[in-house]
Amino acid sequence: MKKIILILITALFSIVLSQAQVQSGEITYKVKSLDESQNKKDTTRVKSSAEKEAKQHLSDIYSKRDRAIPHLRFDLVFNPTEALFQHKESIEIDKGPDLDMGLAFVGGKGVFYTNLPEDLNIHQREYLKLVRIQSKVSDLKWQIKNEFKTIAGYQCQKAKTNIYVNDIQPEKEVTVWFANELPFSFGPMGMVGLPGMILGFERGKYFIYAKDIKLSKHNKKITSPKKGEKVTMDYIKDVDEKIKKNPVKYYNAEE
Amino acid sequence: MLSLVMLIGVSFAGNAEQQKNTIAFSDPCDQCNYMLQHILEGLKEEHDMKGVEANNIAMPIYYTCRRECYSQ
Repeated sequence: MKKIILILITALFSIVLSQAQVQSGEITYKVKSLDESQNKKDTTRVKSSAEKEAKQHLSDIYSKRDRAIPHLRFDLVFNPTEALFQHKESIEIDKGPDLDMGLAFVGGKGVFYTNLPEDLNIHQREYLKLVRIQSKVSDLKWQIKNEFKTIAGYQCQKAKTNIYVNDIQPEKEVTVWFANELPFSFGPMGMVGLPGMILGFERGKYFIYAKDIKLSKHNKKITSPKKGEKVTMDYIKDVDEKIKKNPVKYYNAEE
Repeated sequence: MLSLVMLIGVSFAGNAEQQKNTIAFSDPCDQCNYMLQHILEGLKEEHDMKGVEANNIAMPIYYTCRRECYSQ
């Protein structure tokens, strides 16, 4: 018994020691759908040709999304204080699925940057114009739950917080899974500020999860996005309201 | 039919600037407006989509309406 305890303590100590030496890393995330029913055919009786075309239009959009989701890859690079998360471009499928459509549904457009010492989260993206949406890391209020699951070989703990999604859902509750074993406070799409790396993010009908994790003992320089007007979340809320009032005016404006 | 819708969509999108200046869009008819709002809200509420993206996906309903409803 003593021998087993000694082995366990040694193993635990070596894990802590090895993680302490990690100075940077790169995580690849993939996406899968959480809602199996979303692909069911709509059997609602159509009343007009316009309605029929509307349904056809949506059906086409969903098909594009479904073709794109399995091909989406995101990359998170990090060091102890900064992280950068963005869609991983792939030359091989440039002429294949409409990845942009997939990104629109998953919410992964743009570049997400985090700087912990500065308590700063930046989301650089097109939203009528190129902007850098700034917020505080400490603005995310987390509730840590006593639930666990394994992702990419790491035991992950559940946590919840509320985020602004759009004008209809200004305070949406989302769930993440973080690994205490990886003591870095980063994660996908601006989900940061927990005591361990977030390896799973349940966003709406999609699950963004870590597929490949590479850790390094060498520090890696990370640069913040420089282009785009600095704005706060109030800008996004304002644009959402404007679009709601006059959708025609903002159709096909810079995405 | 789908190809036709997409063709029209592409043709409109390709002339985005021109259409803004030369075509005066009317509000859609009640039925199409209902569909438009239904689709917009569905994309935002059920699919957590951002306003800009949801709008760009839903807006071709205007074109359908203009061609199918207002032209009659």
